[in-house]
Amino acid sequence: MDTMDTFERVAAQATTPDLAHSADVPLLEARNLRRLFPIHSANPFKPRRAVHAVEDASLALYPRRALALVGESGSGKTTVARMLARLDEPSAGAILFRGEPVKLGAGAAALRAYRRAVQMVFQDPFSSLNPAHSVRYHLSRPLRVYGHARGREQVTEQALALLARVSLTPTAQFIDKFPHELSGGQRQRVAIARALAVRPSVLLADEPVSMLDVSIRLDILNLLLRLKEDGLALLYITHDIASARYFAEETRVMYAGQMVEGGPSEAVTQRPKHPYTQLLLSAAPDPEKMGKDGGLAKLPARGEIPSLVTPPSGCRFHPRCPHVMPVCRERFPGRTDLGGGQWTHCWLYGGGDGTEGAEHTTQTPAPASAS
Amino acid sequence: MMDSRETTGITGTAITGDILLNVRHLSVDYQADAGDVHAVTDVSFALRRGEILGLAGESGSGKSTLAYALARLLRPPAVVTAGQVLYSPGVERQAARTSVHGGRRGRADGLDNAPLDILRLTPAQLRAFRWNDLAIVFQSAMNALNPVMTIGAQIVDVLAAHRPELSRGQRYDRAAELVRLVGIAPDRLISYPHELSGGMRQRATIAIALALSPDIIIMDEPTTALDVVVQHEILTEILRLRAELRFAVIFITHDLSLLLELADTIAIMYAGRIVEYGARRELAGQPRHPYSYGLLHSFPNLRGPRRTVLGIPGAPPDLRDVPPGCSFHPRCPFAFAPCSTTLPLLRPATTQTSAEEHQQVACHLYDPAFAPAPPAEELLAAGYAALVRE
Repeated sequence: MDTMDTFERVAAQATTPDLAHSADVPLLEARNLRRLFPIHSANPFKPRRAVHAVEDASLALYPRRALALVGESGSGKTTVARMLARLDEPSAGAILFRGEPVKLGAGAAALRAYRRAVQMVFQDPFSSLNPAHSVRYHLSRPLRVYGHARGREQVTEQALALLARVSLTPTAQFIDKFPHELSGGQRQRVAIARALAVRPSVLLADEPVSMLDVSIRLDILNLLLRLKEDGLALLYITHDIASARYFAEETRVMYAGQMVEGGPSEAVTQRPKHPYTQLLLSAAPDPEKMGKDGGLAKLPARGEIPSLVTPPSGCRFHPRCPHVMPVCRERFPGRTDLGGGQWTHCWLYGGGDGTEGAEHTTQTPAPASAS
Repeated sequence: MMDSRETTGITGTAITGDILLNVRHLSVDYQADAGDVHAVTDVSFALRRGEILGLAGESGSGKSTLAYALARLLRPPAVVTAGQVLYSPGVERQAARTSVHGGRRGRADGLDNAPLDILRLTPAQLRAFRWNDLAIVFQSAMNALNPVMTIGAQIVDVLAAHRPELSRGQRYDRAAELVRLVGIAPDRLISYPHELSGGMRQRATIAIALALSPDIIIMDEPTTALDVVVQHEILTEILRLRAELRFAVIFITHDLSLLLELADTIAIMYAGRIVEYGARRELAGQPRHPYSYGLLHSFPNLRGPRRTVLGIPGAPPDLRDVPPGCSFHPRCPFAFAPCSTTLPLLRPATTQTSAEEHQQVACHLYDPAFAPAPPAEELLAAGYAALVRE
């Protein structure tokens, strides 16, 4: 199929098959992204305020690899994806595509060139498709706009190939359906096919399965896994940390706009270090835990995400943290490398510079999992 | 179908009470021009005092329709076509209603201990029954609460309608007591719904459901819109309140992993029917129906070694035209000849009924008339694995 060939070519340009080598060259990189949403007040004399949605987010996406961004709602993970998709401009920081800084605020042509490589799949397939248009229309627009197909025949041929790629078969039946005739899982497949129509090298998936039934979720995740193996770089945003373990090589945990822990998914989910990651893991429903005595595990902390208009000083998790120390209220800890690629921002592990919080390293808390 | 349970009881769980609600052969159709949609077909189960019954299934499996039928909330085109919902309030509760309300809320027939059929209540009886005996917590707390009334006013509203004998001050005292019970500070009674977080709003709807100390609370996906940490807190709260107040809960969700932590008994629904029913421990330990097995293995595990996640290929059937025989057979890796012709009914999963065993399953694999021996769990695993490889 023509689509596949072209796709392979693009992917081959973007990466070398050798994983170790490609690890040096991120396809898409975010450096110290920050986003403030100003609050418009009716009173012009009031001091200007802003929602501090994202504070200093950095990440890198590599071909054939997935990065999971985990956190509660309001932690800023969607804002990070929207900035990477250039739907929102960062207040500070830089986005690098293939090592080149992306010029923010450039014109429509530059934006289109960027989006040729970076596409996004949204959370809710019930509102991300236009109910007035058929599947054919949804797929033909990106094909025509990005010049991948000309003429009705070519468009139809490529649209059918896209539907086959996301396993919506028989394709001839699906191409003339409207969104209301499709189930949630089928709609999400159309949304993914629409993103693929552009032939991107980076796919940003914002909670692609959280609106779907449990039994359908897995089909969509397996589809994304297959696309990843085909060469896509994936950002997978989720609040379900178990699926991050299953799906992504690397996991980052966000809390209230700050990245608090990151590293290989297996290390982050099995040996969580930051108290917030431990909280998140102990709250996740776990079928392995049940059956023994039942009941729910006791949480190490309580409460909800703080106000981001006046965020807590220092580490934003300190009002809920069971291990809070005076230094946590004063300054945000630097990055501490824990070995094996895992890192955290927490004073319990030294707070990054190895001198300030060194005396606290002995207080390493036990992982939260009770089992 | 419940006869065996009534004598055995479940050891190790909280279900020791009498049967509160007995649903018998309930069927609900949505009448439509293109043909009736059989949303719920021939569903029977019993709910005991203090029990948490989990109803799990994909969207469109009829679990919400079933819950709304129990509360008599269905409106045309939904019609109950068959069945009974028998509610047996305890003796004390019967006595309390006749003494406190001077018989006004008493039953028309004057029989005190015979169960009431909820589906046959008169409008006046229904008004007395709803919220007094059965309350509902809806999925979206934002839509369930009135945005222009404070939380306190909404609780007091319930008390004013159902407990007119209370004075204004007493109602506010009770409202403060209720919100404290669900973990909200009483000074938040003057807050409007938009001033509260999602978790707080869901707690407020639970407080409203508890206002008249009902026997039964139906919870329709109460935590779906919430984050895992808040969800965990709400579930812990429900377990604590259940232990304190001894109400029964029907908990509806599509997330089976939640029920594995919360419920005492689990009923798995598929295409409007209950296909498997049993204590949580049994169902988690050894799911019998191929659909339950697929559902239990369709989410990734968080701890322990990574296991293969299987999922269930295919899509649920169109409820206007359910496949003949077992409605799951087009998706089932183990379908054999009788599955497409004969409807399987719920039956004990094992032939020897010990005191612990009352798991029921609607599958021909467990029927000695069709299958010589029930399949081992490894066979179910192998069947699904082969399906995924295809």
